[in-house]
Parts: sequence; structure tokens; C-alpha cells
Amino acid sequence: MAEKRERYHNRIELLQGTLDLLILQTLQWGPQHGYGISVAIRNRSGELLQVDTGSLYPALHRLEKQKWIKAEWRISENKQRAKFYQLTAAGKKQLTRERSKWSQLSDAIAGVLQLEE
Amino acid sequence: MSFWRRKKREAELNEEVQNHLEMATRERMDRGDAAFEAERAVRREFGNVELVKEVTRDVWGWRWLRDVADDARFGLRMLWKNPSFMVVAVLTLALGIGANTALFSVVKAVLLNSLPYSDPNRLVTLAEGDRETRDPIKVSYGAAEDWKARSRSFQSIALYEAWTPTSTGEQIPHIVYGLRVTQNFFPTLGVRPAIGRSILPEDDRPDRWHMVLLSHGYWMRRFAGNPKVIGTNITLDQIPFEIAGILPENFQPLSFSDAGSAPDVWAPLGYDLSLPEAGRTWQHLQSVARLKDGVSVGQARAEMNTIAGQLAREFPKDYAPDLQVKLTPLHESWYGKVQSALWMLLGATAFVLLIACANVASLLLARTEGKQREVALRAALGASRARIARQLLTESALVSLLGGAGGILLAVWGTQLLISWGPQEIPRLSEVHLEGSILIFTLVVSMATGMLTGLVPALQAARVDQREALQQTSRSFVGVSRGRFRSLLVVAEVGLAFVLAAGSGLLSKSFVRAVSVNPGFDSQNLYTTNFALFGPKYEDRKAVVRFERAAVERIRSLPGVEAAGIASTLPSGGDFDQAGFHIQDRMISDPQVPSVDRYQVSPDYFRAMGIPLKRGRLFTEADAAGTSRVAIIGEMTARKMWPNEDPIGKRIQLGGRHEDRPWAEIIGIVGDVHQYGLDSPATPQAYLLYTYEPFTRPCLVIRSRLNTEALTREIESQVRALDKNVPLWNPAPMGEILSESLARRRFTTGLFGCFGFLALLLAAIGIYGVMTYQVAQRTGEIGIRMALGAQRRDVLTMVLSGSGRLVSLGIGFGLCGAVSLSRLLRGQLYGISPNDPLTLGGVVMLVMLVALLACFAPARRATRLDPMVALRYE
Repeated sequence: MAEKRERYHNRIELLQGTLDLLILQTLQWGPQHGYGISVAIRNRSGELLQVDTGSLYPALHRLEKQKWIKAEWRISENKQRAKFYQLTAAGKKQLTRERSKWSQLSDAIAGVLQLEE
Repeated sequence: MSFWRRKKREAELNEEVQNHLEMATRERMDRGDAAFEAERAVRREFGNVELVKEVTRDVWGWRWLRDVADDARFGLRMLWKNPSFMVVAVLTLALGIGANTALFSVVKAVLLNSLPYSDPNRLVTLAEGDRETRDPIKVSYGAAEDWKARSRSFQSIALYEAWTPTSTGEQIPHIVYGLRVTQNFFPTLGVRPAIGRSILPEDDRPDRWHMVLLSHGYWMRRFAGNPKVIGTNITLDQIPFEIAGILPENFQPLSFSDAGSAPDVWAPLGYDLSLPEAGRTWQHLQSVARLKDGVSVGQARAEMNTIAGQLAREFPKDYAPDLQVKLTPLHESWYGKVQSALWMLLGATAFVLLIACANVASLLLARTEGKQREVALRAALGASRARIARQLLTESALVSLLGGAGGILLAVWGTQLLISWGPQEIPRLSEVHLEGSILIFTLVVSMATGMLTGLVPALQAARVDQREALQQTSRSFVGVSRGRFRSLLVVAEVGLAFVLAAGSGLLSKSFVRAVSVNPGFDSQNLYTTNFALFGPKYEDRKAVVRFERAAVERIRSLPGVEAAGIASTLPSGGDFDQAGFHIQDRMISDPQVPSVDRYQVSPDYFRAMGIPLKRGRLFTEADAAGTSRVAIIGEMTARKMWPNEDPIGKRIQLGGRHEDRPWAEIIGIVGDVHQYGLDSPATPQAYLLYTYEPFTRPCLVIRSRLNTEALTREIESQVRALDKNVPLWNPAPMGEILSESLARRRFTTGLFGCFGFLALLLAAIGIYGVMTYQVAQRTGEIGIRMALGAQRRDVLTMVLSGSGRLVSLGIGFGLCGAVSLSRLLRGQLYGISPNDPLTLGGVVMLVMLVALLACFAPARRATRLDPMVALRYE
């Protein structure tokens, strides 16, 4: 138990709800499978954001259920069958909404933090 | 989500996760990791694969259902592994649930189903009586007319009376069961003929009443359902009746017939209002009335009481001064008497089920304790307490559902038994069958049973301290609370079983009392049958007497016949004939005249019946031939009417006082007979000779050692030799008729006894189980005691006294319960008090004995322990 907890220290815990935003944003660049999404988020965040698979897959299935993304079985670059997710029209709108919400939130937090100084 | 779609999604999820792992591994290998290390790293990074899958699946919804399915599958597997537990638990519950289901289906058919008439809750019965009438059911035509004229509570008041005409024609003469009803009878019930017309107001007249409606069954049997019979005639009592209509197939006359058979023919009452039978004093009809909308039973009752008061004042010659009108909802008047017995029996089955629950709870408890380590392990592996508790509850629910399924099978068989066993007084018993609502009842009972049996064991298991349970290898960590719960179960079982045993004890004793009541005659080798004389030939009263005398003489001279007699009414047969008792030198106004049971008999009747003569003499053939009238009275009549005088030589009239008619001189006093069944008190009685007022429907009583069939054949041929058109019916040994009068008591007592036995058996099994378990628990302790010098006797005493305390406590509670519930039993008892100390004392002994037997085997096992083995037992 103890060892496990230490490993998590190197990562930034994702804020509640931000994972959805990250997934939608990642899918804006094209359809991608679950592993690809997690790699993309890790790379783009400079290895800082490690997506927990225990959160990723439930999130993907939830977004699919909300019809913001849709899934399709395709052949991957390694000639392997894989489940690719892609944004739907509703998902694109949702992404815009989430982005503006996020920028408001980060502005607000930044404002608060500046006051502190 | 459907099962198949779910399967597909699960497969896809598996593949998706598998892809993820493979891709990640390949990438690591591409970066130069060794295959083995890459795989391990990926696995570590990914985390618990199954957990990821599970939380993902949760997004799909329906998680609890899936859990339940998992739990059920797991539970079934566990049960399968331990078949003896399963068999015992399922059988125990099947017995309890089966008894409940069977009895509930009876209660439903008889008590809960509404009567099959339109708006049945508005139907009531009306009957007149005075303060002395025990159970008024009859009404006079005149009184009903008075009520109709004065009351505003009723839409209609209909009257009816039993009618058993003889059908002649192509077949041998036979009795047809029927009713004569007023023209508003069928409209009151809301019944219309399926074919033809109903009884019209103009049919209900003395000159027009020769028309009948047929029951659907009779129409099918006799006329093969031919609709052309409408408008044709059938001959009843040698009079042609026009068949006017056929009643619908679904029409059920239920308790409208008291003749024992469902009525097949229905004719108008057609009373001639100038005749005495249409007057106010001849109470021989029954009534059914429909309340107006918005009028409550209470309001109608109040109105009828007012009217009764008025009538008693206005017509003091016709009505008793304390005239009362009894208004009862139809359902209650038919089923009121069986109602309390049935509810009582249902309560008894509930007790049996509770005991069964206690047994299974104790079994489950022993099982969960056996699974302590498994449960602790699962908890340590991350199963939540709720989940563990739920798993155990699912298991107990499975057991009780299986028990419920078994219970339904038992109930199917049990209801058949109940139907064949049930007395005729429960008329709708034949309607009992398993239906949706009863299956729902069983399901609900089963689920409740599952919760009841599983809850405590589940809670206990969920409280298990993981570390302790995993570390400890011994069984001795079983908590004190659990031991206490187990003891509580024993106390409860003993208490519940005691209440049932006490109930069956009281009922059995009542039954024995009722059976051993002396009916006032000797029913051994006594045989009875009825016949009817009809047609113009017998309009001459002398012809009736001639026929009856000849028939009795012929039968008496048969070989094997000791005595034969004729009577207008038989004791305990269900019929009765009450008449006013007038004494010549005592003038009493008519309504206040005491009534007695009247019997018109042939001289040899007393000898045939075995009714003992107490004083004076019996009738002789000379009396029958003579001109002066004689009478015989019962002992109670003598005591009541002439407490300080000798009644012999006094002169009486039965029925009405008519100075112009002859008075009968009392010549003898005989023993009283039980007219209304063995468990009803004796009544005042008086006898006249059959020649005074001849009757055309006599009962024959024959004392003979011949068997019933042979005798029936002989009698039939003798009677037919006199007149081939005379029908005989209801041939039966008198013993059968007597025992029929106790049918309901036998039914209740027998069933309650079965439940009491079942309760004791289950309680004994429960006690045995708990004691066996406790002895096993204390094996180490017993070993130490024996090693320290305790003798076998000491060990036996120790074990027995431990259980003895629990049993005594249970009996104590049971006794309190029995005493406080005894008032529910009061109506079912005969001749003993509901707290009969002898019975209760006997039941205390019985329960103690049973408990002792149940404890004995485990206690003996404890004494047989080898101390060395016992010490190493842990």
C-alpha cells in the first residue's frame, strides 16, 4: 500500500472533470484509441499528466453514452484491430463549452493566486 | 440492457483493454525493454485490470442487478457444495411456507373473495328473533311485508325457502333440490337467466307459480343443454311446471341452499296471503336484501331496531315484546362462523413458519461461522461489508425461494387435502386453487422469510474482525452476542411451539368432550333414510298414515331388523321443527309462549332410537288407533314447565292454542336428545303421535345390524312395493350424521393438531441443532473439566441444565402467550375453559419431554468425549 502511494506523488492529480476536457481536446486532432489518448495526454503535458486507466476507460464509456464521442473498430497503424473514438458534432460543442469553462476557472484561480502575492 | 448486448460489450471491453496492454508493451519493447520486463511494467502501470473493467462496466448501469446475479450464482454454488444444509433448510422452509400458502388459498377463496353477485357488499340478511333466540336466521312472510312497508334502507327484500319436490316421469322417482323464491330474488342478487325469462311479479301468485328456472348444471345433465326445453313442462310432485329459463353457468347459489346440495330448480314462492303460512307468526323463510346506495349497515340496523319496537307495540298478538331484527352482511352471515377458525388456523401456520425461520436462521448462523475465515479473507481482499452482508442475504433469500418453490408444491397437495377434508360448512372450499395472487403471497412470504433468516447472520458476518478471524485457528472466538442470539432462537422456538401445542391441546380436549357427549340416543346400529309422499293420492291424510304404518310394519318384519320407527324430524340432522308449547291450564299470550322442539313419531320410534323412558309410559299402537290424544315430553321440558309438579296427566297443544281442537295428555317423560349437534346444548322437547297431523316427508329410523347397502336395498324394495313412485333419499347410518355435526370442529382440531405437531417437530430439530453445536463449541472446555475430574453425570447435568434454562424460559413465554391468545380460541372450545390448567400443565410436560429428547443425544455425546481427544480438539 505504502509503495503505491509514493508513486503517485510524482504526478499531478487531475481535477475532477478535467479528464473529459482532455479527452475531447485530444480527439479533436483525429480519431484515436484508448491507449493512444493516454499517450497523447502524457506527451503533450510533458510527462506530467499520467492518465489512470481506471479513470480513462470509464470516462470514454461515459462520453460515448452521452453521445459526445462515438466508437468504431478499425485497424491500427500496427495492423491491429482497435477501438477508435472520434468526436461527434455534439462533442465538438461540448468541447467549446468545456474549454471556455476551463479558461474561466483558470483565470479565476490565477486571479486568486495573484492576490495572495 | 439485454443479456446478449451486454455479453457483446463485455467481449469488446476485454479486447479494448487487451489492445491497450499489447500496444503499451510493444512500445516499451520498441524502446528496448525486454519482453518480460515490458509486460511487467505495463501491468504495473495499468493497475488492476479486473478493477478497471469493473468500474468501466459500472458506467453502463444496472450494476446492482449484475451484483445480485453474481451473488446468486455464487450462492447457488456454495449451496450446491453443502447439499445437506440445503436440503434441511429448504425442506424446513417448504413445510412452513407450504402450510401458509395452502391455508392462505383457503382463506382467500372463502373469506377474501367477494361473493359472485353484483355489488355484493350491499347484500344483507334479515332475521327476526327475541332475546332468547340464539342464532336467528328465519323470518315470517308477514314480518317481511311489514319491513318492506316501513323501511327506507333497502332497495329490495327477497325471501326464499328450501324446496325438495319429487321428479317423476321417465326416470325412477327422485328428489330434486330447489328453492322457492320471491320474484325479486334474482334482481336483488343482480342475476339474470342466460336463456328464457326470469320470474315476473305476476308469476309470484298462488294460481300462477307453476314455473321454474333450471340451474345450468341440471339443464345440461337432464336435457343435454337443449334450448328447446324452454316453454315445455317438467313434472314435479306430479304437477306440470313450465320451464321458463336457464340460469347462467357462472351463477353460484353458494349457501342459499341449506339442503346440502346446490339447488337445481327455482320456482316462485307464490304465497296465498290468506293462508296462515303467509302470516306474521310463521317464521320459516330466509331473506336476502339489498341496501340502497349510501345506506350503511349501521344505519339500516338502527332503522330496523326502531321498526321492530313499533311492530312489537302495534301487534302484540303477533310479535314478542322484545322482538329483534338481526341484520347481517350476507358474507358475514354465511362465513362468520368459519371466519374465526380460518384466521386462527392461518395464525397457527404463521407460527409454524416463524419456527421454521428460527431453525434456518440458526443453521445459517452456524454456516457463516464456519465460513468466518472465508468472509474475513474476502473482506481483506477489498470486498465491502455491505457487499459481504448482501452476499449472505442473497444466499438466505435463495434458500427461502427454493423453500417457497417447495412450499408451492406442498401447497398444491395440501389444498387438495384441505378440500377433501373440509366440512360442507365451508361452501367455497371447492373454489380453492392456486392463482396469481397466492403465488405473489408465497413470493412475498418467501422473501420476508429470507430477510428474517438471513439478516442476523449477515450482520454478524459483516462485523467480523478480519485480523482476529484470519489469525485465529480455533473456533472459540465466536462472540458472546452470537451465543446469546442462538439461545434467543431456542427460547423463541420453544415459546411458539408451546402456544401451538397448547392450542391443539385445548381443541383436542374440546373435541373429545364433544364426541363423548351422549346424544340422548344410541347411534350404534342405527340407520336412517327419508322418503316423500306426494300427488293427489296422498291428499287424504288417512292414506298418508296408512302408507307410513304399512311401510314401518314391512320394514320391521325384515330379517335382521330389530325396530323401526317414523319421525317428522331427526335429532342432529340439521333440520328442526320448533313449536309453541301451550298448557291447557296456563294462559299465556301468544308471543310469550315458550317453544320446544316438536317431533311427530310412531310408537316404536323411542325403541328404535334407543331414547330412554324416564317416567310414565311410551306410545302404543292402541294410542295410535285411539281417539284421545297423548304426548310425551323431554326431561328438560318437564323441569322447565313444571318445576314443582308432576307433568304426567297435564294436557298440552303444540303450535297454536285452539280450544276447539283436542288437547294431548302427557303420558311419559323421556331423556333429552341433542337436536342441534353434539356440541350444542340440549333443548326442551315434546313428542306427539304421527297420526295426529300426518306429514308427507317422514324420516325412517331403523335399528339393525345389517350393513348400509343391504339395508338400503331392502328398504327401497319394501317401500316401492307399496308405491313405486315414492323416492327415498339420504340413506345414512346415524353415526355418520352425528359425526357430520362435528365436521367443522374435526376440521379445525385436526388441522391445528397437525400444525402443533409440526411446530413441536421443528422446535425439537432446532433445539437439537443448537445443542449439538454448543456441545461441539465446548468440546475443549468439557475436556478440561473431565481431565480435572468431572464425572459423566456432571457433564450431562451441565449440558442439560444449560438447555433446561432456555427451554423453561421458552415455556414461560409460551405460557404467557397462550394465556393472552386464549381468548381468540374461546369460540372454538367446548366444555373447557381456554386456560384449562390440566391441559396447559400437560402441554408443559409434553414440551419439556420433547425438548429433553432433543437435548439428550448431544448431551450424551458430550459425556462420551475422550478427555484427551477433546483437549487436542482445538
